[in-house]
This record gives sequence, structure tokens and C-alpha cells, in this order.
Amino acid sequence: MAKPDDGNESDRVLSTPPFAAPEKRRVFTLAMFATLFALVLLAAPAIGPTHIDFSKVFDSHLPFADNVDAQILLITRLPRVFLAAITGAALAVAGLVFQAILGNPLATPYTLGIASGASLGAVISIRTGLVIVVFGVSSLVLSAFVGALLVMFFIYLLTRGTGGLAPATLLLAGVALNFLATALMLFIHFLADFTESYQMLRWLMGGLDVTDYNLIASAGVMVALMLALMLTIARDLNLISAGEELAFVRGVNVARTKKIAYFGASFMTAAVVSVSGPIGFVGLVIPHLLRLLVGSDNRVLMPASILFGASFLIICDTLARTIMSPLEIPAGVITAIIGSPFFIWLLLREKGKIHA
Amino acid sequence: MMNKSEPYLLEARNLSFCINRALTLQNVSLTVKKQETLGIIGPNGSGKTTLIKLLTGILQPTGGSVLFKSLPLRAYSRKTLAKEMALAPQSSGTNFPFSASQMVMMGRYAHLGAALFESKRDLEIVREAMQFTGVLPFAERSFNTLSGGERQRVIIASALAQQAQLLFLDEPTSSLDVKYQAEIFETLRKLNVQRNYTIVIALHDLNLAARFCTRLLALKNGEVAAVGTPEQVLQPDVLEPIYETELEIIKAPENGGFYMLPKIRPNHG
Repeated sequence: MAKPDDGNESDRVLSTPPFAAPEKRRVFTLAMFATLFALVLLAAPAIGPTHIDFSKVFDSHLPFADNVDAQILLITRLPRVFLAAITGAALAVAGLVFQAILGNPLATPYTLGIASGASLGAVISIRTGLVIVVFGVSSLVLSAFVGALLVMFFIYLLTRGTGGLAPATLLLAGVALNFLATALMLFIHFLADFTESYQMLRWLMGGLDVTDYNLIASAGVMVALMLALMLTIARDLNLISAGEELAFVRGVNVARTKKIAYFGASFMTAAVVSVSGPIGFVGLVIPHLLRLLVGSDNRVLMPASILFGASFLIICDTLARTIMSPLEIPAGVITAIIGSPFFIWLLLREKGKIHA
Repeated sequence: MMNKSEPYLLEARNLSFCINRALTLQNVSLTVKKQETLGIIGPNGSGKTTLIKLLTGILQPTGGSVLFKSLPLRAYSRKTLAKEMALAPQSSGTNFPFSASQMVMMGRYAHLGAALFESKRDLEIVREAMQFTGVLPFAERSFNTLSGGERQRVIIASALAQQAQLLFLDEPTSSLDVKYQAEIFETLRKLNVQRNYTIVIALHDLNLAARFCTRLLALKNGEVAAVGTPEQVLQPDVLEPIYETELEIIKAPENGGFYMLPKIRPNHG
């Protein structure tokens, strides 16, 4: 009775997924996303309001100062594409990780107020008008970064006494701090004059028009390190998102994993938000879309999110700087215009499930 | 009292557990010998689930200690312990669309070592565990779309895939049809007899507990109210004060067993 399946049945099941050649499926899936990323990375710098003649870009006889095509490519377009890739990958994975540790598929990298902390730091910097440059990084970026990290530590301290990063406590502390940081930011915004106010508003819209390679490289290194760290806990996050108690008895060091996940994802978010501003919806949309395509296994979902998150934001930013050219729409607006309807569709779908 | 040559597999000493300053478990001591089947019974809210969570280390006791092979649970790494003891909790749900086979594969976590993905052998073990509990036909279905009973069998399969010789089960059959109740207990019996599994099982069905377990521990209001063989514990004078109701014992002539029912007037009486 305990073995209700006859031989034929088990043969059939063995030859179907997930028991048949799962490696092939994984390799194929990730190869697809890698190809997409490579194509986007190659195509995006070539697209823009000004046509670039690639034969001139690499013409060594022309000095760089006179080579307009090379200047457009190397000074205005390439850094944007790199920053979009870094930001997209970081936000997608941070969203995925927060969803796992909060046990809630609707969490985003900004749910706990990391982005509000960065925004508060940014508006304080704009209002005080302090211009300090440390290691080639402007006070605006530094202030935003510090703001985000402060929120990260405050939330951690608030939740420490109560069973260590329990989803409900984490969410409550995070949402409370999110409101506080947002309120303080609005207060400072209220005190600002018109010029400052415009600067603040533009920062809050999020944008990838950064041309400083040093800044992009620093953000890139931080994000790369954190992404590598997150990939090492992908398997543990699978078990945690399937239930913490079950994960514990299956052998996962739940407390340690959640700490690594929380700090890694927060740090990564802080790094990109302080450079690009709070670009929305990437962190929600990408993990969800990919879950529908490749399933919930973080060992596949996470690398896919890196590749597709990067591709998605490069595409959005390319749209942002071309569809209304010469006007450039902030990338955050484009991602939200694509992201919001998706979010609503998702909510309706969830609602449908409950009534079904 | 403790036999040096054969120490207890698991021992709990004076376990107490407080939540919000209310004592939910008080001075619970118990021992589990290798290959025995210990049933934990008691009315709703008597502390069965809390006791299982303390024994598996999910909860830390406020007082007392749990020893596995004579060493406190804390002395073991999580992965080492996961290869020794597994749990099928009472209910489990996830907000993420994991498939049934993915849930079972999570049972292999402690065995994977440095490998990121399951080997062919791991998949074979997972497949066998799923066949054992009859959940292979919906291996690819989303765990969340399964019925309560199907989920429970998937979780039991996941505990089997963990290949731990001490198995804790919290009400494994409470939402199962009679057919699957029989199959689960048949499966557990096989594990116990053929593979020397030790089984600690929380049950509210006294008749199933009496049939399956070699020893019973009855809890009442977080304290041990009775311990012994099913024959010793399932006596009206023992159980009536625990359950605060009158009970009737019906002998089963075919195998010398007995059934216990609450005293209700028959509908034609």
C-alpha cells in the first residue's frame, strides 16, 4: 500500500522533470538570460538620438578631443549602460532576498525604508549645500549612502531584542522607520527654496545620468561583492522562504543566513540608490516575472535576476533617453510606468486566487 | 538508572517553557530509547507541539535541557543534527510557488555538503521518498495548490529524504483520509521495523496512538500527567481526569486491542 505506483509509473516520473536532466534545464535557462544580457549590453550604447559611426569611434588617427563619436559613446552612453546594469542587478536581487527573509513575495528593496533613508540623506545634502568630496565621491552621494546605512542599522537594533530579524518585527520596524525618514525628508523639502526643491525632486525621480566612472566603479565593486555573497546563501534562502522552522530542522543556520541576507541586500540597495536615486519597481517586478518563468529555486532565480534585472534597466534607460529626445525622462519614471500595471495585475491575480 | 551500555537516544530534563510570562510547559522530563515509538497525547493546548519544538531545538527551553546521545542539542552543528533527527510539522505553508518535489528536495539540505545542486543519488532518494508516501504523481504541482493531506504527505516525504533515524511527527494524520492514515502508519511502521527508525509522534487520536506506539506520554496543562505502555495509560481512571470527560472502553475481540470513545448516548438508545 505504501508503494502505490507500479514500475511503469515510476519510470514515467523518472523521465519527466524535475528528475530528468535538471542540469540541462538550468544551463539552458541561464544561457538564455546571459545571451539576452550580452545583446542588450552591445546594442544599448549604439542606440540614441545621435547616430554613432563605429568606424570613427575606433579610428586611432583621430585625437579623442576631436572624435565626437568616441566622446558620445565613452562619456555619455557607456557609463549610463554600466550604471543601469549594476543598479538593475542589485535591485532585482535585493528584492528577491527581502522577499525571502520577509516571507512575503510583495516585498521590495525599499519596503524597509533603506531608500527613504538615502532620500533623507540626499535632501539634507542638497539643503545644506555642503560640497565635500571624499575619495572623489560627492557629498550628495555620501550623504545618501550614510542615510541608507543608518536606517539599516536602526532597524537591526530595533529588532535585535525580539528574536532576531523575525519577519513580522522586521516589517513593522522597517515600515515605521520608512514613515519617519519620509516625514523628515518632506519636512526638509518644505524648508527648501525653489532651486533646491527642483534638485530634490529630480533626485527622488531616480536617474542614471552619471558620467563619473570612479563612482560607477565603486558602486560596481560593492554590488559585485554583495551579489557574490547572496549567491552563496541562495540554497539556504530556498529553505527559509519555504518556512523558517522547517529550514531549521533541515539543517539551515537560520539566524546567521538571515543576518547575511539582511545586511547584504541592504548594503547593495544603499550603494545603488545613493548613486542612481530610488528607481522603483525593478526590485518587485523582476523577481516576480522570473518566478513565473523559471520557478522559485533561488539557485536559478538569483543568477537569472542578476542578468535580467541588468537587461531590464538598460532597456528602460535606453527608452528613457530616446522616446522623447532631446528630453530625457528619468529612468525611475519609465520603470514605474511599466512596473505599476504589472503590480496591479499581480494583486488582482492574488485576489483571484483567494476567492477561487 | 541510566544504563551505561545503552544510553538514551534523547532525553529531556525538567523542561519548562514560558511565553509572555505564561508557563506553557512545566518540568517535563522524558526519555526516548533507540527504535521505540513514543506517542505524545493530551487535550488541545496541553503543550504537545511546544514539547516537539523544544525536543527538536526550534524553541529554546526557559528551563531544563534536551540531550541527544547524552550531549546537549547546542553541542551539535545544525547540519549534524539534521542528519540525526527530522521533523514533519503539523502545518506548513509558503508564500512562494515551490513544487512538491522542490519541497521534498529541501530535505537533502544537510547532505549536500559543498555541492550547490542535488546529485543523481539525491534525486533518487527524493524520488523514493515521494514514492513511499505516494506523492510522485503530483511531483511537479505547486505545493500550495495541494490539499492538506497531500501537503502532509509531501512534508513527510521531505523528512524521509533527510534520512535521519529519529523522526518527529506532529499530528501527521489529522487531515488525512482513513486510507492515507493507514498508509502513513504503515510507512512509519516499516521505517521503525525495517530501518530501525525511532519515532516520536504527537497524536490526538487515542486509538491510533494505542495501535502504533510502544509507549505513551500524556500531557495536561503543560505537565506530564501519565507515562507508560498504551495498556497502562489508556485506562478510564487515568485519562478521564486528563480529558475531563467520561470515556468508554470497547474491547476489540479480534486482536486483544481496545478502543476508547467519549461517552455519548447512542442515537437510538
